[in-house]
Amino acid sequence: MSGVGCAATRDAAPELALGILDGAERAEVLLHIASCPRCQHYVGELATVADGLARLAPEAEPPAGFARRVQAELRGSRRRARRRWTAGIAAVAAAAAIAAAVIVPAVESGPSAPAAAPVLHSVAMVGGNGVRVGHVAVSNTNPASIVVNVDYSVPDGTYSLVLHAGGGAAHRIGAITIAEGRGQWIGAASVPSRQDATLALSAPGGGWVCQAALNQAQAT
Amino acid sequence: MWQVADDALVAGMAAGDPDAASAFVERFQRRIFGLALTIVGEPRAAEDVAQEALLRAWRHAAVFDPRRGSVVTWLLTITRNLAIDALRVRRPVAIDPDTLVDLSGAAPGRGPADAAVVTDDVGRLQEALTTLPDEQRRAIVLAGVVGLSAREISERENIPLGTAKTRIRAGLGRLRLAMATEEAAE
Repeated sequence: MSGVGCAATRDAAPELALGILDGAERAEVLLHIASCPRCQHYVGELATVADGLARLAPEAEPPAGFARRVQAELRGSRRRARRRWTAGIAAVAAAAAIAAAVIVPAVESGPSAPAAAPVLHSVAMVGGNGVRVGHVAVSNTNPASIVVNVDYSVPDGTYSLVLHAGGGAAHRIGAITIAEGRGQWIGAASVPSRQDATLALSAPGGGWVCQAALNQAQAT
Repeated sequence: MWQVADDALVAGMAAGDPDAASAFVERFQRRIFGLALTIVGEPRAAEDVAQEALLRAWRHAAVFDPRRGSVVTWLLTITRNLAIDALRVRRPVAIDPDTLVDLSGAAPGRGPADAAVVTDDVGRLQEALTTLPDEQRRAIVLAGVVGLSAREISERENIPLGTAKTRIRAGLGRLRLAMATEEAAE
């Protein structure tokens, strides 16, 4: 179980929904809502209201030529992006092949499979406001095969992948780069059996961007 | 001028359509610049924020998911986060929460596809915000628009941290109930 319950989560939910909750408190609340549909729904309702507040800011006319400058920048970015994609095709293809190799045997192992066959759990990677930003697939082997996929709402950049074993213990197992809004990491690590073990993306300046409760599937 | 839904413009950007990207910039530039200016309070910095917000929207167009929220919400969230980052470098600045948002009932203009629905939502939120006690409304605007933490609000308003948290909790809770009640009544 996570460190906070529904009551504490509801107390902190408005600050989470407004995007102003930081540090350990934010991590604890995110961990709780990842496994509590009722609190997730509550935070979602608050976030809908909180998101609407930005719409109340008055419109303003930008300086002359603003749209033209942005459109020119977009054209330049499109050319640069095309070059990046060309260079990155081989790397993406290789990563996809490795992911398939990790995931397919595990998916094929259903209830009738031999007991020794690895079983894959997929858990949500949850970001600010309780929004699902991707998922983590983790096998029940030791060390566990781990595939992290992020495909929504996380700003581009490189983040540390930090495994929290609960009770304050944490260690970095790698780094994931988000580019064009997407990122994938494939690797292996010993996942603690504690129910509150989490895997988080940590920003360079500290603080969690999103995280997944690794043993949620086993707990339910 | 493009007269297509906001979602379709984003899909066009994701497909690399330069006309869609241009129309997107034209459609949202005033809203984005307005929010950025509201938060950072200085036109030059607001222009930088607005430009970066539009570039990020373009880069992430392919992963925009309309099931998770509207284009406007998505775009304003990007803008707000960038503006808050810019503001943290420039603090302290004078902020009067009573002048930051438009509570006149005249909702800002937006894309034609969902104009009626969104205008109605914004109008309801404006109305609900005006019903809050002054201190709760100030706390909500400082947190929800400017992105100040409860601690920062407590320092600006010269109140205990617990009081700031209570105002935020009570204010957003009331807004949620007001919006839910009106939805149920429709």
